[in-house]
Amino acid sequence: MSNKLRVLVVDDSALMRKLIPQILARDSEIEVVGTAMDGAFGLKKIEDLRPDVVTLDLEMPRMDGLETLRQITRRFRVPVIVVSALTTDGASATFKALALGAFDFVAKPRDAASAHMDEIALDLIDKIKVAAKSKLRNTTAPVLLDRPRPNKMALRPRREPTKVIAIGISTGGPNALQYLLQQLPGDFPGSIVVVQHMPEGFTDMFSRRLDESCAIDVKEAQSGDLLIAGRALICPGDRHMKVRRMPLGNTVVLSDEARMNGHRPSVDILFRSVAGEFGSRAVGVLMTGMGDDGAEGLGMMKDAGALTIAQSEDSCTVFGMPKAAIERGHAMRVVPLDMLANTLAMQCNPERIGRATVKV
Amino acid sequence: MNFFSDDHAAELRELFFESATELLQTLNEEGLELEKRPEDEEVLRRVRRTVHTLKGDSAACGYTELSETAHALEEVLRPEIAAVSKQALAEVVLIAADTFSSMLSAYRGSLQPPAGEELKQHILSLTRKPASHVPYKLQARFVWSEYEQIVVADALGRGESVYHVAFSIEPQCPMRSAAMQLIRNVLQDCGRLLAVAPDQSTLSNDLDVVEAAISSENSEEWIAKKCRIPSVVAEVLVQRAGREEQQAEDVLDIVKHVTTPTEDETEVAIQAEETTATPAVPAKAESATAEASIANTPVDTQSTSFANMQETLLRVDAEKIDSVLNLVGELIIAKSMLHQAINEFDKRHPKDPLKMRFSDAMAFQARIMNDLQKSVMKIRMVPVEHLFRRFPRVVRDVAKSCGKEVNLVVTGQDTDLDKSILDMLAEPLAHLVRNAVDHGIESPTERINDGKPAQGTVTLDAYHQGNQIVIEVADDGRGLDRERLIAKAVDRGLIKPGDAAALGEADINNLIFHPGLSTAEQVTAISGRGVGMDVVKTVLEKLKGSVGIRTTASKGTTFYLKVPLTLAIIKALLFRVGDRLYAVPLASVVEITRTTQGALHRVDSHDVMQLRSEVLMLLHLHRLEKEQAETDKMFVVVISTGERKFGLVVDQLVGEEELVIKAMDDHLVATDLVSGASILGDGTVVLILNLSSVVAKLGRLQMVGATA
Repeated sequence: MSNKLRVLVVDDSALMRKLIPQILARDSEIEVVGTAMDGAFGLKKIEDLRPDVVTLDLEMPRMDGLETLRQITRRFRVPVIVVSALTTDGASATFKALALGAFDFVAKPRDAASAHMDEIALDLIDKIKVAAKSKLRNTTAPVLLDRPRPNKMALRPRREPTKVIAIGISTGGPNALQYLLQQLPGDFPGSIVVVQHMPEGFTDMFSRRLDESCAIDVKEAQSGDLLIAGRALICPGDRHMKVRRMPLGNTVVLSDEARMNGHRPSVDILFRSVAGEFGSRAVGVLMTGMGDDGAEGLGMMKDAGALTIAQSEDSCTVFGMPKAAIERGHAMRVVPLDMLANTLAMQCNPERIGRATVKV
Repeated sequence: MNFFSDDHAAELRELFFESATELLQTLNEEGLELEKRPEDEEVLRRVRRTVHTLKGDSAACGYTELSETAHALEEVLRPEIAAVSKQALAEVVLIAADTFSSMLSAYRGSLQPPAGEELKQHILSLTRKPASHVPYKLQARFVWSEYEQIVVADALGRGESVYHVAFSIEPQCPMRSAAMQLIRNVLQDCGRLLAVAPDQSTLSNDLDVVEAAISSENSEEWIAKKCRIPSVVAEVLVQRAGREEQQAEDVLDIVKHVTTPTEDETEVAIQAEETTATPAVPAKAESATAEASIANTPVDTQSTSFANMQETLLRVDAEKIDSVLNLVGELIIAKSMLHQAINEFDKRHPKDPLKMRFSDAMAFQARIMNDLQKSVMKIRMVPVEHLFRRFPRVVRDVAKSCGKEVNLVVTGQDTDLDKSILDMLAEPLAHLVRNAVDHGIESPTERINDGKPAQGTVTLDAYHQGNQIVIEVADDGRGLDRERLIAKAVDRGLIKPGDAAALGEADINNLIFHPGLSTAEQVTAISGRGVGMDVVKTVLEKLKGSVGIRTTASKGTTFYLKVPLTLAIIKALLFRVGDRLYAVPLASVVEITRTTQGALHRVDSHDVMQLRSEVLMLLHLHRLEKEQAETDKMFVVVISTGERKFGLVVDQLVGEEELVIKAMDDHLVATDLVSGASILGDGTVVLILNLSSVVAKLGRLQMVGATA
């Protein structure tokens, strides 16, 4: 028996059933063992073929992707990667899928004749490999509860944050971030800036979902947005985000600079600007994700006097970025996901900061 | 660098075109359904799923124009919009299907696809509510970023005069980013620049409106004058942003008009209390209801069985099947060669015990060959439905454009037909259907006056008749106007006035197929150009089929298209004329009879004979070869083309045989009398006659002969 990763492709488009296997054929470690044109066939084929990873389209006739996913997670232990279309509905369904237990998602392949395809291909291949490994490892992924909509402040007063918290996060991020932000109280005194690796077009819906389920405000960042207490700004896909201190307030600025180590948005770029502008008034948090984006930036934040935190291995979906930071000695603390909200609340507590300043 | 090798990419594109064509067909059908039931969310969901797949597939192939348009369409396919727009949405879906289809053909020919502006306008018109009043031509909203809001508020707080300035950029202005820089310079001349939208990081070439806030000591008029940069700025709007309530309302009014929020923003916009001119953030169309609608797609029970079938379907290139068919054809020739050799062997060695074994093996082989041929033929067969399913749309569009009410009834769509025949029938059939609606069916008032229901009916039917398939296009309209047909034909010099009276009913009807004859009073965009009906005939002839008409005044017209089941192998009747071997499709042979010279009569320079109660016109095939050796007794093969019967005079009947038709290159054959050739087992070549040309040619020959 070969030790290739066995992948099943579930998609209602005949083109995609051809294209995705062609993409995956480029990697010698992956073998597409079958395709299915809708959810019902997909389930049957999972039973017959026992694949290591399933790629799943969400918009399908008969049994749609979400229902299929529900059944897959109920009946099988196979990681599912959602292949998601770029629409508002698509993005919304994608996040529902993630909440239902999909391992991760990739954007639908676009423009087979362009270099763009390389990125998508690498992304998909990487995610399939990581997903296959995750099956072997028992992660304590956060359980997201359907919470009632939190009571929000009707009009958030514009208060200066006690601290600026910069978060870098990638694979496994949507669920982990939702878990973290849901635990923060509505009067959280810090201001949060987040770089989540995510394709263009998904961040808006992602922010809206987070905003609906969290007591703090969550917003997709726009250039000129203010850093205010009790709000998280999510960097839009395919742009970079930096912070900047201005005469009348602190803002974020978006830019279209080149990719940094293959990423846009890049955690390193955010962390570096936070280190430069806020120094010890900042907290850097590097969370679950592949690769090492943010590890160097976290080091800069540490050097600038900020507290730097890496998410602990057992609570990560993928222990890549935090691991890189820990190995390079850039993480001052290693905190499991369920303790993270608490840690941040402590760090931002104005009284505590007040005491600290007195001490100094 | 390309991700895929050219081969792969080409294969993908092929697959895309194939599936996209199917998707468009589905879209047409669903669009029509949506028109009938605009509020049915399930139908809407199906339409959206189709558009969605089309979008994803075209994006994957890099066909951005198509995928972006599909994306725009997908975004308006929502229950909220459907509830408001009713049939208009279905209309847009149908227009979209057409636009997509022309985009596809453009892509296929590697051409620049049409922009689909009309479609975009239609899509936009679904979401845009009519403006109550338009306060300014220039659309400006003055939405500043949060930081800019405080800057503006701060300036106002210090008692400075703040002006909102909006520029629309001259459409011809080539360098948009340079224009932006010019505007910035001018604004800085006017006062302190507080805010500019769009911000510099989102500069693009389709920039057309620039908005800014400045703090200035100068008057509105002065600023407006200063800001008019010739050939860059088309229009300037300057407004004092102030503490007065009235002004704020004014601005909000513009905002309402421009942004037309459809729903309250879920996000709590951070309000700058000091800034009175904070407009509402433009709300987007997406909402919780739309989310919910995709979450619980019910199982589509109707399509279950079909979908089950589909999984076992194989897509095979038609060429591959053709080559198999070709080989089967060769096998059949080989079989008859073997057959003949064995017969020879039989004759030479009548007592040989091997004889029995030969004939057993032969019979076995023949049976298998037969089955093989049948199964290969079956592969090529597709239900007529593939052809019929495009007609509901055609009927709807034509009926709509000429103000008629027409109901299309389709039956017999399960009848199978050879794919290549089906493809060739598409055009003539479309023409007939269009004609039926445009010419056949009367206008509703006319129909009511005639005591018919206002809604006309066009019927499409397909059924087997012997070795042929008949496709009927029937309407219950006014019927052919024979008088006018004759008048026109005389007018154009197609027939002599004197001959008109001698024409039979079928002859008159057949005039309609004559090139350059159209009975429509007015030439409409749809039909009536006089081309088309002759195309119908040409195609049918090419297919070795025929077309017939039956018409009754004010009851309707029916066209019968008869085509062979397949083009590749025919059952044929073989006969000799002179020393040449000919074949005609058995399907067109009605009967075989004998006659003598004495029983012939001459009418209008034609030889005729009496066949029971009918008078049969005879065609002497050897006249084609200029031979005159006529014997007293002769065989007459009675054939039918369309509605008419003729007798072919032949010298010797040879027999019935299955012929594998080898198409003959046009360059090889100088005549259209022969439609193909075949090889018999003994290597003899048989010419297969193209009956309609033969009839036309011999009929004319005889007439010419008579006048000369």
